[in-house]
Amino acid sequence: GLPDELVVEILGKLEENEDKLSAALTCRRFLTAIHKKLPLATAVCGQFSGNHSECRASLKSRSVTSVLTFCQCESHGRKQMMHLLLPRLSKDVSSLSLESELIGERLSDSAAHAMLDGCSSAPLSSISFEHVDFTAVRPWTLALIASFHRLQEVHLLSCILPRDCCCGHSRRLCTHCVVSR
Amino acid sequence: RIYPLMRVTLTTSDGASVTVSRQLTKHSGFIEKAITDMAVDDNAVPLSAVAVDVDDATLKLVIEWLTEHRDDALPYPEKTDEERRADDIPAWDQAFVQKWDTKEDQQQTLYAVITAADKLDIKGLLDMTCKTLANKINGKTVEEMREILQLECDFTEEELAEIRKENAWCEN
Repeated sequence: GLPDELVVEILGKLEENEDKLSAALTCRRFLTAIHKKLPLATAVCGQFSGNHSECRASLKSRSVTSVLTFCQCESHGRKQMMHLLLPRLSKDVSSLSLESELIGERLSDSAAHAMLDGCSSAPLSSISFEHVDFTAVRPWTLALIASFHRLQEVHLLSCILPRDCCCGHSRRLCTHCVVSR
Repeated sequence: RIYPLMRVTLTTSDGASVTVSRQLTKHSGFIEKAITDMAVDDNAVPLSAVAVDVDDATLKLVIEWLTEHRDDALPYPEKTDEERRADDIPAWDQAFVQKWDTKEDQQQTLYAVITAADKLDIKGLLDMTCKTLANKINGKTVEEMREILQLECDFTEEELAEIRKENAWCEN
């Protein structure tokens, strides 16, 4: 293998953020070498799709905003992305959204925890969930939402909440149920 | 001014010795410093051979590259991240690296030349070889990158479990 400073040199030649993101997810050494070269995300967007060929895991950066999109694919290192990369890139994130196209597949408690905990240092003002089945997510995991002090709006669109959720809803919510603080 | 005919002997890590022109070695920060340290002035003949921590086979490739690039401008132009485009490798350099593709240990050869360019402080060669390696992984998936660079995924389940444990208090 090559010494660390040469790994930094080589990965520094990658131009596209998507390539840098993929390189960061290959192994621990590469993650350490390149995570500082990844732009901090201003928005985090989860898109869980059953069709892996249409998977859109990416980190797109424009002049002001950069959007980190993650997925549930193993090929995109879902766990690494959520547990290791998200906390490092989410310091400027103001909006978090999760959209699921999966039918019958629930959002796992650990994924929900990793996603909310990964943004714990972010100045989140907006959270949006669409078509997400929360029945496997524990209420205390969802309660992490309360730790975002700058939060102004939470959108729940066609989501299924846990049975023992504080509001008591267990069935699919109306199409536009918007909770505002 | 360095006289083109002035020569310097290099000894390799596997005991070989190679004599090359100062016109080539001037591109190597390491060799030039060694010569300056040994001799009274820049144009003096070095008192003894310069030992380099590079094997003979790799040094031959380095010398081949230096011979082609002997007239390159010095110092090597520093570039910002925006200016460093990975696709601007000169045609000769591309052909030079492609020759190794037929070798079984092609990747090892590239690694050896990158390491040698770093040790000998040859900025142009280091830049080119690093770009070449970066180009190999451009546009590839995480798995493909691991395969090309022969990397092991070392993010362990234990580590991920450790993170989950932080939330375990509320499960009991």
